[in-house]
Amino acid sequence: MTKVSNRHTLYAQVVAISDPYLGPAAERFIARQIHNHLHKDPLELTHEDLHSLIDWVRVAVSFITEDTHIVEEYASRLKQLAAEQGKQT
Amino acid sequence: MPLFMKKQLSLSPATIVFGALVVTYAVLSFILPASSITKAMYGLSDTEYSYILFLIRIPILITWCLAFYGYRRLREYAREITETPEGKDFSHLATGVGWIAWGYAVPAVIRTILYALANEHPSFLSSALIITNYMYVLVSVIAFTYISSGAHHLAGSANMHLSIRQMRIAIGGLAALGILFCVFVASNLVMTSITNTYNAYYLPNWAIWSTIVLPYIFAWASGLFAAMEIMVLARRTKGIIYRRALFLLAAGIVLMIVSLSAAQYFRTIVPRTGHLTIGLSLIATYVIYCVGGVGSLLLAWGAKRLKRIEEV
Repeated sequence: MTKVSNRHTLYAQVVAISDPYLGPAAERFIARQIHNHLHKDPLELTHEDLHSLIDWVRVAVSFITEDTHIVEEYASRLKQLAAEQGKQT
Repeated sequence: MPLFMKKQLSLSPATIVFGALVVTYAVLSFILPASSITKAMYGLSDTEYSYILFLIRIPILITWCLAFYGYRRLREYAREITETPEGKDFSHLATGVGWIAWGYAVPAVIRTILYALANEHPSFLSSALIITNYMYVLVSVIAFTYISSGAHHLAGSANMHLSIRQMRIAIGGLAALGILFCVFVASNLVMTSITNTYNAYYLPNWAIWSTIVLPYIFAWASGLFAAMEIMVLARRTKGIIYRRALFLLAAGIVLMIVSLSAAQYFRTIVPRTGHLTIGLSLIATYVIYCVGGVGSLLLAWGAKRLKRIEEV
């Protein structure tokens, strides 16, 4: 598993948003989504990948909880990050 | 190949052995000689005795199966996260729960055979009861040592420790339970001499205190602290989705610890007789088993949800 070595990478920011939802499993969950669905190293995650990643995260989280409120809240926080990244680029 | 058949064929050797123990325990109700004391006590024929024994054992067998199911689920989750920092600790928890599950079945089958031998050869009763008592002591000590090791490391690595207040509650509760336990055990002993063996455990007094009472109190202390640490972890850990699943798992383990401790507490203060008695002790046994069964289900449910987080 790729460790979040650089706290400023996009991957690290996605993991930080995931932490309040997935706790100790957050980093490996996000790394797995990136590996399996985007077919790249998590540290190579870019702004262009974010929307696709959010879709996959939403699907994956829907499998592990029936609480749609949490799923939507999690997805909207990731979308907010995507929007902020869009402004910066 | 249909999924159903694949699942049938992928039964692990452990599952097959456990299944064989369940079937053996059920079948032993019919093939072992009936207890002459129980038959005389309730006016039963051999056939009636066998059927009643079998019916009494059904809820117990269900509890065993649930415990084993919970154990397998937890083991699967522990394997899934074996490379992660908490993998080894969950593996310890799984091993401890495994000892509880196997500790229901193996000693019960051995005990049934020993009691049947004692029915035929009354001079063997003391040996049968001594072996049975030590089997359960061993199971408790090993199971709770593994569980407390896993729970303590998990809580420690998450920097979550018991507060002073929680420690005081644990120590106070343990002291009260321990003193009560000693009083109950002492009431079954003739305390004229430390080597007196005239008691329901067929052991000298010194051996009862040092090899039955002391290990049990050690095991229950380990179990109590493990239960408290794992609940603290489950309540405070980060990640709302993860925490909900961990809480189910932790509640399951706590109920299993409570059930096993209560069963052994009860069976030590009301010593085993080597024959079936239908009464309040049986109802108490069912209640205790029921708590263990519910705990096993919660554990299995929590482990399944945690495993799903690692799979999707």
